[in-house]
Amino acid sequence: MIIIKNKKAQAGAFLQIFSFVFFLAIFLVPIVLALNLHFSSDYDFRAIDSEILALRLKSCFSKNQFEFNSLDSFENELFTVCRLNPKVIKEHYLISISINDQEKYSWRADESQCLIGKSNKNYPQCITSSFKLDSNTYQLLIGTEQKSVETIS
Amino acid sequence: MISLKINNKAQAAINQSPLIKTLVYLIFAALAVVGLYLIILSKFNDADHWSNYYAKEPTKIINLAEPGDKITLDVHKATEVAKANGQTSKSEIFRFNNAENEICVKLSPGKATCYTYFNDVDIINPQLLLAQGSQGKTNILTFEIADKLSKKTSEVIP
Repeated sequence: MIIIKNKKAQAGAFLQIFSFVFFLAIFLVPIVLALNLHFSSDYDFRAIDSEILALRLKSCFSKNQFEFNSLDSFENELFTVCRLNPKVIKEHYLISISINDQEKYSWRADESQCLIGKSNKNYPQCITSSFKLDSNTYQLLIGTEQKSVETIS
Repeated sequence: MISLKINNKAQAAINQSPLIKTLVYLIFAALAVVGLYLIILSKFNDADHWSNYYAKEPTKIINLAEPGDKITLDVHKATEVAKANGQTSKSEIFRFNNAENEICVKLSPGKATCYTYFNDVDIINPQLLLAQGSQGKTNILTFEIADKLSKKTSEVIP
């Protein structure tokens, strides 16, 4: 006589665990992913940084008179009078200064980069600012792609 | 002759004690909840996130400051995170590198987050004062803004 033991009954009861764990995972995985996405995302400071530089330039132009004769002399004057660090500005920022629709100064100013920067954090996020001083209309295009840098120490 | 003997013992055992079955489910659910809780807890104590935040936020004020300004910032959360991560050296939590116009924040051992400010000034006399903030309960960071006179390497909190 051959006895066939039916273990299907035993297996069936425990197979339900897998479906339970599967549904548990369906609930938990999105929560964990959302938490990671929210907390690990880099604190995007580009727009604020650009706004602050625009504010500084606006304040500086309203308090001081600049000669736009030569690009180098204007750049030196701008950095000295407005107390801007040339190394930091040239490394991380783009600036375009126009007066009455005529570009007077430009550093890395490229509007296509600004367009990409709206959706890509590796490109500069730009802001535009326009104001009037002594019957002249100043237009600023300021952007930065600066990110915090992690160093091992 | 082949005789088929169905073994219903296993099924019967489970049916007889639904408590065991429920317990197994409860253990899985509990493990998941505990895991989720631990993940949330670790995120709230996330040194990377907070060092990134505290490296950037002070530059807002520094970039708009004038020489002679004295700045006080509430950095209580930063000190809490640093303590939770075993970063106990007060002098290393905030470091100002005047040569590079850089502020570095270190909330966990071995890793600092740095961000540069464009205002061409020096940061002098930085101090991390414990329990000196609102109602003597919060930790604050104070420093002064000075004209850029020298190319000092860095200002360390005493």
